[in-house]
Amino acid sequence: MGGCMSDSQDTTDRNVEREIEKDKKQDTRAHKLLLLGAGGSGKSTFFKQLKAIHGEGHNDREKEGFKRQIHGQVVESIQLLIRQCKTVTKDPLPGIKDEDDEPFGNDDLDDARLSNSLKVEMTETEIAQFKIAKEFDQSCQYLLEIHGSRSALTEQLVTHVKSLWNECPAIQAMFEHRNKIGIPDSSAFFFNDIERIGRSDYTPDHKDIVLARYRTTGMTEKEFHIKDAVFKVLDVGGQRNERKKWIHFFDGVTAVLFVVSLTCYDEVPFEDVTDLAADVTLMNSMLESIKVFEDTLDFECFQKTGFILFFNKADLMQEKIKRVPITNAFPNYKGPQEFKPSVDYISKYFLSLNRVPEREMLLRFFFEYVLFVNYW
Amino acid sequence: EKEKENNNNNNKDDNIIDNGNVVDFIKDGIMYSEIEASVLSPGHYFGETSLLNEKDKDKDETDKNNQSSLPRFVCKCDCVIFEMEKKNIDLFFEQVPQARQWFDIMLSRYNCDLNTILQIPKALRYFTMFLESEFSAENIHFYLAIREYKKSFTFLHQNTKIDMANIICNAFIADSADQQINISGRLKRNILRQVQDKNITENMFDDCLHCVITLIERDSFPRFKQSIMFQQFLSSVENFTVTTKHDWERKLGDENKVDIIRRTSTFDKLIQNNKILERALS
Repeated sequence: MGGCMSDSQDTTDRNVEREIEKDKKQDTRAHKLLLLGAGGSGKSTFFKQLKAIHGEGHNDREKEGFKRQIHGQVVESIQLLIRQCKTVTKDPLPGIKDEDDEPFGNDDLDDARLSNSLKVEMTETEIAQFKIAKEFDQSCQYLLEIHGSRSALTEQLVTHVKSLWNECPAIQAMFEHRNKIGIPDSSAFFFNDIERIGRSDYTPDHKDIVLARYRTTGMTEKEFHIKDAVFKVLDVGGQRNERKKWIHFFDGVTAVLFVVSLTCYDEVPFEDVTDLAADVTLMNSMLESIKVFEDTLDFECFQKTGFILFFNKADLMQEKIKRVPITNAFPNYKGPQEFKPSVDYISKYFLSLNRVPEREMLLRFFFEYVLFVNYW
Repeated sequence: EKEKENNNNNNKDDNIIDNGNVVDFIKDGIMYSEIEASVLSPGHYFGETSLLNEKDKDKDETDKNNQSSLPRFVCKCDCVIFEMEKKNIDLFFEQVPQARQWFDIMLSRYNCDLNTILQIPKALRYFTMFLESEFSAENIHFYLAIREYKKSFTFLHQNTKIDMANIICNAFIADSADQQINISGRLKRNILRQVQDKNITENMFDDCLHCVITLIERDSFPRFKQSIMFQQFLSSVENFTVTTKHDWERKLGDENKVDIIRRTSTFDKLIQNNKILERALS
């Protein structure tokens, strides 16, 4: 133990002031890049990529944090899948109270956003596919009893997740509806790799880190030195409540990096997530993204600011386009249900929203975990 | 100057490694390891790590075989040293749970968990400062509001409960809220409906709180532990002494004139010390 110096608020304040002074000096020479986009578009994913490629990478402590994030994502996703199955089929599990889910079909009298016109009715047979067989009761109960934030993957937990994920058709069927209940695509990757992730000596690799998905709150910033230039990149949260804070970061921005998820045209925004009955043609993150982009372009302080539009998750889009047409979000689209024309249409649509012709607009596409870095 | 040697591990009772000491040097003392590491004065203690480390049997074995690498403590003058057994300190922690968190932070440092930080007012201040710098302090404000709400719930009149729930909704949950928190549409709708129906319960905000705590834990908290503010907090913790020379002299009376007295510290003495700990914690 050291000497008897008492804690002094003054010292703290002075240190903080010094930090702020230092920041100000750096501000003048760094290019400020602002990552914007609706929730779940991939801003933080992009930020992590930058850090891995142009920064110092992730240190052991950060990796420990990502490990927890991944473990948490696995537990939460499987819990959500089970709960949704149970709710839809009105199948109570003994000993478990329904935490946040009201019974399916309970009409929301007060909420105009969710009037009956927004709901999709399901037939008996459709509902029946979500019925979890009796043999999984023990696994369900075990998994639901885990408290989310303390979720180290024990051997037992891994076994239960594995059996539900690989052998229970209801869970698979529910996962197909992940777009409506707010389960990230990457959870499938982690479920499939559950044994590797559950090992006691597991350390997340680059791909795991990039695929780990969690909401961001507030703002974080990081400096990157690329060739001779210094970039200060700001990453922010994208949900509606987080967007109220954006205005604080708009000062002195060199360029806005606006991220759009290509696959979000059938995904319900986290802020609107309710249940399977959601109608994704009326409420999806693409519509949200378009609105956010329009609002951002309109800001007075951005009239002369360059925009780089990033279209994210092109790899997932190639799969999704086979199943879901983009007419969900773009009813006027008349082209074929194929990757290239659909993506072209989306990117042109976004570009057309810019009403300041002299503003610089750049387009980039990238995949969820392979980042092309030669755009500077 | 008379030198007395006190090897931390040789003068122990049975449960050697689990056992630590609360040390008190009546006059200024100097602590040596092979290289003089630091000087301990009244109120300092050593060996506390082994008191708190939960049974790490393998490690204990290595330690036993590796005694030479352990620090040696040498008294430079007449000293009074108290010894504390693990079972006693565990008892103490049962009675004073905040003290446990306080020690947790000092020992786990970068591995401490969010709950520990939330329970210690001083740590919470640093954490709040950090969240303010990241524009996400609404999460901690919500946590504090719910903590207050739950603490006072049973004592409140029904109308006051409704008012309180309304205030929380208007401040944190509704779309118009200045400090709206990042929760799912489902949770938001449920709460707003419950408040509208005047269906107020003590645990109605628990799911929202869980959602917010998880968000902090996954997103902001790991960054906090990497931040300069966390470092500042740690150094302010480390520089704190648990008691003062004056306190001990008053308590010990004439006994402070004697040579080295080693006693198994009683539980009571640490409880007296608790007053000082409490001051440190607030």
